[in-house]
Amino acid sequence: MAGSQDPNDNPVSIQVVPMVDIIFCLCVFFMCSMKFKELEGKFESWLPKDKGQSQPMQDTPIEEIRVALFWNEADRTTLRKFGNTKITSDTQLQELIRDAYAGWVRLGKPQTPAIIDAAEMVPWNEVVRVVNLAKREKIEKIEFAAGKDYEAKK
Amino acid sequence: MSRFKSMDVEENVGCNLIPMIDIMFLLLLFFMLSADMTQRVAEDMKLPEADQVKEDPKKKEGYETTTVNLVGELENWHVVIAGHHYPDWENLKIALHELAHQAGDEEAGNAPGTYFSTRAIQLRAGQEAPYKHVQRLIQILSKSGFYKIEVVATKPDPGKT
Repeated sequence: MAGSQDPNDNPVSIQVVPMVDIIFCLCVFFMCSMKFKELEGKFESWLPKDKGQSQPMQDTPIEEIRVALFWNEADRTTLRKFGNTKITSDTQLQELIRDAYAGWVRLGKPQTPAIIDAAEMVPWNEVVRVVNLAKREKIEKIEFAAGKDYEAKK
Repeated sequence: MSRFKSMDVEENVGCNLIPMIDIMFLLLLFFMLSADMTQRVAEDMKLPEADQVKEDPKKKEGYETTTVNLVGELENWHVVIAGHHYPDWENLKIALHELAHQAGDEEAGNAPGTYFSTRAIQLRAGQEAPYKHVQRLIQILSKSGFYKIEVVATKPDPGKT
């Protein structure tokens, strides 16, 4: 019988102790190398294919929903502004985005983009948070304001 | 005195290894199947959280994807692509240019003098990455010929308050 421990039962008994050692080692290896994967997703943000930035014409009204992010170095926090309104919470910002977008939709311009204008030192997390709020309001076009051209300065 | 001593009873106190081996085999199987032995393209980092992200479908939409990681801390951030570290932006530019101009990656119908790759870039940047580095990376990607950028974020844990 396979389960018998008595070597007299079977003349070709298997030495299980080395096998157990090896399995233990393999178990420890796989346990240590195991990592639970976090659930990741993505925002598709296709860049414009027409190169260069078009300058807005003077008489054209600005059609955008702009959220500005500033970095306060003193207390290392991000300040958010919607127009001249200082944002204190995500809920407030989402409501402002919702109202602004509803206004553009009423005017027949649902393609109006939400533009995120972030300062250089603003953490990426804060930028993605605003993208997320805009996505909650089903805004399709989300753009990042062109900042400094890092490649042009050399 | 030794009335009971003559009774030569041998008590078997041996450990039954078979159930233990069974369990260990099961554990081994579990860890082997759950282990990710593929080439690691995603660096360990704390990604931004967003509940509106689209989950990455297993079936790709007909184009290749490359993962570009922006890792670091404080002021020291650099790009990692498939395990290769690029602390220097110039080397990164060369690598991305080569990647974008791989044979068969050119998008059909590009206007003369322009080049766009069909390849998508999954941009994984750490939560604390300053925006300037992300912006610079996007600029380099754009100049290399990539326009399909996918910003990667994690879905918040529903159990977390």
